[in-house]
Amino acid sequence: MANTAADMTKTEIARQTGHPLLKRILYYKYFYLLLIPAIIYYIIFAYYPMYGSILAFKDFNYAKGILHSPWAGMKYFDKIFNDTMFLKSFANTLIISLGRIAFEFPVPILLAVLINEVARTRLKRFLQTVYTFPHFLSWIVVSGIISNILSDAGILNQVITVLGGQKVNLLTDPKIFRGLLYLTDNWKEAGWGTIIYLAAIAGISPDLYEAAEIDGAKRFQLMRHITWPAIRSVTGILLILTIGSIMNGGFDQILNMYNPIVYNVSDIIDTYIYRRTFVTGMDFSSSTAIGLFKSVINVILLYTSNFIVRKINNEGIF
Amino acid sequence: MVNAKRTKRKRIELFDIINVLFLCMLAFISIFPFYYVLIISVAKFEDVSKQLIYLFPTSIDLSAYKVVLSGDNILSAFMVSLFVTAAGAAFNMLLTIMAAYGLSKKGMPGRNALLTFVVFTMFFNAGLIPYYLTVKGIGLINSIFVMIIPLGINTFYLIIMKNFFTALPHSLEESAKIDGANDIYILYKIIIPTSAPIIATITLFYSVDRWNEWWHAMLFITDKEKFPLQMVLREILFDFSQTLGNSMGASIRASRINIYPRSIQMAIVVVTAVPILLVYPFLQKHFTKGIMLGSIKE
Amino acid sequence: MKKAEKASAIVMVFIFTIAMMAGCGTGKGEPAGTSTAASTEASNAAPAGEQPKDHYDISIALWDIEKSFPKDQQDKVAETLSQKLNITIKPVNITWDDYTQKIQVWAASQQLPDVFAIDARKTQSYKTWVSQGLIRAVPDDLSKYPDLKDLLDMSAVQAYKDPDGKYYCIPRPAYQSPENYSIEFGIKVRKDWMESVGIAKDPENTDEFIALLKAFIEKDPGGNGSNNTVGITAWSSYWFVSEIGFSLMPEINTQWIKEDGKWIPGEFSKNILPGLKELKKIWDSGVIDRDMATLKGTEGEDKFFTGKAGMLAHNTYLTPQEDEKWRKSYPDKKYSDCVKILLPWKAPDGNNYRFEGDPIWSESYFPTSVDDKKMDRILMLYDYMLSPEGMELYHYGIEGVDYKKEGDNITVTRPKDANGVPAKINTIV
Repeated sequence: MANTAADMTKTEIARQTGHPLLKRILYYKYFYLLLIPAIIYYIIFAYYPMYGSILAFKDFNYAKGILHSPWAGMKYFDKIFNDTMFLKSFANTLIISLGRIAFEFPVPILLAVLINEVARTRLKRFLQTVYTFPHFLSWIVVSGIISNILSDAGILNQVITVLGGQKVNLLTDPKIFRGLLYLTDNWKEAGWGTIIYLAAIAGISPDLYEAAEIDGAKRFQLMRHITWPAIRSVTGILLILTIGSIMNGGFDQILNMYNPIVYNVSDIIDTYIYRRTFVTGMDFSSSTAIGLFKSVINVILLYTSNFIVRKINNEGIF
Repeated sequence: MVNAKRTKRKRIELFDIINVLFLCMLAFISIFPFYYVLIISVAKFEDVSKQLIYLFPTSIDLSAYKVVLSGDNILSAFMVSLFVTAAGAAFNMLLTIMAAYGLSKKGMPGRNALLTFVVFTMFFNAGLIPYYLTVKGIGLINSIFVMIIPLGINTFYLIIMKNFFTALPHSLEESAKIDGANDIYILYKIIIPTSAPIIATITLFYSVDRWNEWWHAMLFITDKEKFPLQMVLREILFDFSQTLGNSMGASIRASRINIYPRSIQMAIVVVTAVPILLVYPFLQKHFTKGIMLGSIKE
Repeated sequence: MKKAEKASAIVMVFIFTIAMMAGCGTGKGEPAGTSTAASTEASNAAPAGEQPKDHYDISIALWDIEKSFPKDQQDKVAETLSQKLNITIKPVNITWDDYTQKIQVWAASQQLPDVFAIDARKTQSYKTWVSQGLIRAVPDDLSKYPDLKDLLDMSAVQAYKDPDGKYYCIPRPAYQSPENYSIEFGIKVRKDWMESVGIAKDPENTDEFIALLKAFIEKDPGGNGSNNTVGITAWSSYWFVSEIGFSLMPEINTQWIKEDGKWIPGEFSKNILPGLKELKKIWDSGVIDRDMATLKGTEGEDKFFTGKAGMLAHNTYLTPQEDEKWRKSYPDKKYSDCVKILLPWKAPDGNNYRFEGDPIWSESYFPTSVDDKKMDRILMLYDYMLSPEGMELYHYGIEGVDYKKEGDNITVTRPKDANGVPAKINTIV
């Protein structure tokens, strides 16, 4: 039943492609009009500054500015790729981001589905509101609370010693630190993440549930055949966007939670740059080179994941 | 969020009980950080340090709030944040709704190119200096609007909204078009009202983002009357031990920085978070009001 | 005599501090008396009472400087400066959080203020700025600015000259000599606890050190329960390792050391290894705070001042905040009765080491956009702030309003609080 714009395309486009290009453009004239402010915005604030990327290939000279500084070829890329700490941070970035996709990405979805199963409206609203609270606190504050709980003098250890056990030092244990990152990030952000999924679920017509129930569908079948398809497309889009930002890794959280003992498992590219900037003052060309490297990888990941998701879901971002 | 008719099912299964218990436990965990922040903000230093685990307030001391609320920056910072959030979110939504609808028609020539144009910006970051120079060139240095204009569109949100628009039933527009309406009228009178849940959602996202903004302020604003609340918060919460601990100047730097007692730090966290928390439930009402008529792809 | 007076006047010089600056000097209580004897030099470029010609606006970037220039309040001290020197100070705010980034960005976008402070002398940025002509040198002839000249002639400051012999910055010393700076580093210990556990003398080797701390934990003179008592904690691990390093591995506090004909960073010295083994022994014995690596803000300090730790590796003095914490935790015990500084025991080579470090931290820089005439006025400002008159302004405020001066005696006339301590200058409008 072709009743959405998405489905419409197959028939409409078939109709339209018969028309000459100019006529199609005229047909959509208002849409182009609507896009003008956004395009201007992107050109000014996103595309124009991109000329700065060439700094990665230049020796920056303050007096000459970015455009007229002398060329340096691949010098800065050689520098960073020979920097073992950078390479380590690169590896950590990949590992942690993949970990987040595995252990954090599905959580808001599951949570949204579970919330949706709650019958009482007021409880549902209450839960959904309350779950978003931790999102409003910054990582500076949340990591302080986590520290109060997990530190040697913290609440957890107090409880453990009262029960007769041995103290644990979770914050400084490289073996579990990444897991701690995933857990605490879920604590802070999963609730917020449910919003978009619940918004998608809100669009499901109740009649569908009714009809299915009358036909004898059980709860889990309802979830699979009605709830899930509604959020499938949002999930696909968010997955693409998440994969496309793998190189970011969660700077804010890690910066506030990590400590020197766990650097080797949690230092990501951004935290590495941050430390270098503060202590030795990393030069502009190096940081631009790293930024460029990150961007290129992000773009590759973006296109790849878009391609894959489109194959599965029949739609991607583009 | 509400499927009102579902409450028709009267049988409560075991699943429901476990589900609700589990979810309530999660609710407790979610409230806990705020609870903790709150009790520390009204706690006396001696009380907190005497007890090994400070979970229940032994006395309420509001002096931290007196200090915070009488600080000379707080009122102006609050007004700045308020303005930036309201004007910023409005600006964001204007740009985003227009662009999202503009990109929502699959038949439109050049759409893929435009989409690429838009999405590419999410992943390509050219660095601090050129961005700074661009903003400077526009004349936004030290202006409140630097927290609004350069942040005009969040591409992530744009894509989400675009997808929602694309999924709307074609019938909505078709009937209006037959009556002679043009696309802009359709957007304004039909699309937007029907998309209430997504509009409310994205408005919320943008509002929270604008309320939390500090980075642009830090980089571009030097007049302290134009600082948003989050800047004031960061100044108070900034933990320098990360950057100081390993340098020879540690002791000197440490003596220069004012280290605020925990109660004041927590008080300012509360003051910064409460306004946005008050707004949120109001927006939530609109989530539930929306009657979206999208149907589901099989 | 003159030199020493001058030297003491330079203590804690914040060149541009107008008295209202938050967080300054209060750490040391009321500042030690400035030399009040009228210095015999006539000095100062402008004759007393006469304003130099030509008004200059000077933009200054200093941490939290905006706090000192509230827009709606008239600051008498700033006014005095403005009048005396015919300048208007334009504050440009930087914060501890962002100053490196801000200055880098301003440098790259031709937006540097006339004066800015940053700790860049030992970084690559400094070299680049000099070689690319971004910052200008201080003129060689400083006869017009005698007090400034004295500062720049101090031996610790001379090290900050560029190899070509010029000063491309004005260093901001916090102490007039490394000796004064070194006093700051020391481990505080609860001597009342030491008495309680029956150990009278300070440890003279690692084993005694461990034994003392173990006694603190096991015998629990603090009454917290052994599980909640920490032997030694610190402001951060940096402090702990530095201070224990005096006894275990002094090389760790040396920036560069020459070994086998090569200059290497102190941490790579071959003498460090035995010290590290000793340190490991101490860690394994469990007397070091297990949270050492994750201590944030004042957590370590809090542990000590609330009686949960027996030793604190930090500085030797007591800040007002620490004093307050002590009073709240022990309202009936005097701090000086309970706490003393632990003397480091002899290092493996038989010597007693103390901290030695650069007493200078951060410098003031001037971009090349500042021409010679403006530079002259800026240097006059520095010179004035360093002169006896300027120092009086800094320490005591406005004569006649905040204090009275009769001959050599200064009487502070600001309102006093309950303890007889005059109100801090920075709370008075």
